[in-house]
Amino acid sequence: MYGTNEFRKGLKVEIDGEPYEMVECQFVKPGKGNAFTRTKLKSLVSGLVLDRTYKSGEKVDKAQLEEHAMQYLYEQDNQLHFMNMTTYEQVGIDKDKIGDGTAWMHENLEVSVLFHNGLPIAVDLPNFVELQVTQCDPGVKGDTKSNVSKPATLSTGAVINVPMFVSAGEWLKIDTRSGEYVERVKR
Amino acid sequence: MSDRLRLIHRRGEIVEAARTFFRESGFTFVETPARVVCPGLEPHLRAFPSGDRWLITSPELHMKRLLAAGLERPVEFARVFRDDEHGPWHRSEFTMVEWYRAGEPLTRIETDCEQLVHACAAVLPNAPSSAVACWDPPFDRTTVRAELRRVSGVELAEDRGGDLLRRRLSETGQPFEEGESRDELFFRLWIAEVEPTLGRERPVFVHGYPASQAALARTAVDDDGFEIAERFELYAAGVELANAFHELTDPVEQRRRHEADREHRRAAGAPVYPLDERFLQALEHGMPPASGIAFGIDRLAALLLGADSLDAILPFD
Repeated sequence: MYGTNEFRKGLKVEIDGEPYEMVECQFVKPGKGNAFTRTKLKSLVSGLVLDRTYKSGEKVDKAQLEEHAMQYLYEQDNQLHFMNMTTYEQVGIDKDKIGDGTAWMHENLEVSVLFHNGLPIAVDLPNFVELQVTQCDPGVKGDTKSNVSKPATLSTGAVINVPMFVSAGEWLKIDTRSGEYVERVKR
Repeated sequence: MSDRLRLIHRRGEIVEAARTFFRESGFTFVETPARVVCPGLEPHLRAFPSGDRWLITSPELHMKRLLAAGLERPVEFARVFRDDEHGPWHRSEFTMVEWYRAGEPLTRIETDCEQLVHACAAVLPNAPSSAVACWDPPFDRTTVRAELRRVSGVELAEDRGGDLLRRRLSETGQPFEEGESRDELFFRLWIAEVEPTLGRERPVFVHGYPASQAALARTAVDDDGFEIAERFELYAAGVELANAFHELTDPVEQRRRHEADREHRRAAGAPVYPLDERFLQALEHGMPPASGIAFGIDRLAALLLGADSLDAILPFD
């Protein structure tokens, strides 16, 4: 249990069996009356945000969360399958739980999977991944203008904007948070 | 000058403007002791011990002794201390501007507030922050009942037992415990959903607090016979700026409330502060009818300057 004096942003708590992250917390005390802490709690499952106000001294359950390093294996029936790198156990996770991250998921990618009471609820990708361009217009050598771009299809099927000099077959570094091209990499 | 230093500089100008306002309005600047026998009565305040005394949580009791002695318009820019208060709008040590007017009603204090805020805003080179749409007087005026009805759909006058408050708390998923009093339930709802909405258009005077939250204010009944305290709070941008009372001057009632507060503290396992006998004697000697207010000048300065916490203008914590 966490008491109100332990409340802070980033705390993972459990309400009605659902895990939440504390995204805001503010001490407030009326001139006459008890002290309270106003919080905003974001569900780690649905992303919905709750407003909850706690009286000083009240307690909230700790969310029973575990994080495991896992490796992406393959996609089947709208699920992505991962292997726990310590126990070699495998688990399938619905694509919609992973959201935008699926665009960058390549074989053997190491990710961090968040489990709540033994069930996977979120997949955290590394900030950067390296993917190969499978299709784009021919590269224009020496064209290093950064404000002109063209679409390129990556090995995962994702399409991103890349500079004119990029050619098919090249490897690119992508920022998974913004979904943007960072640079070419030699493989 | 860096932005950080500019804010500290402006905060200084705002406090100076406040002092000028009080000087030009005929107030007497006073200073009361910081280390006292009785640090304040409000049952939820925690004072810091200081040797065989306590650090004040409010200069109220000493200022009332000055009123009883015949001073008609005292003001103090008092440094006060409250244990265990930390947050964007709370410091365990802060400046409270407290002033009184002998023989004047609460409406006179409202006018002071309007003129004070106006004078403070006037020293800024640009318009004050848009956290409040319009800072100009006259400010809005409302009641606790009206706001609770507007935001939460609860009519406090029809909720003696707190059932409507409990139902609303359940519906909105707010935590509460069985057996909590109506006041406790009221505070939960007020803090959770009403307070953040107050004073967004203009600063607003909130009147009509339930009589059970009278502290050292007189009590009265509103137009519907609902028992209220003669006090108001001033809000801007969801932040409480000030708390005003039509002061209780009856020494018997005062002693009764002191004892009740001490009982409340004992029951809650909190330190029980001694009665301030010299204050009670002063009331017996005769305190004139008066209205008074405690005003958080740094909260006002932060809001006028568009800061979202006191940290921007008070660099030390």
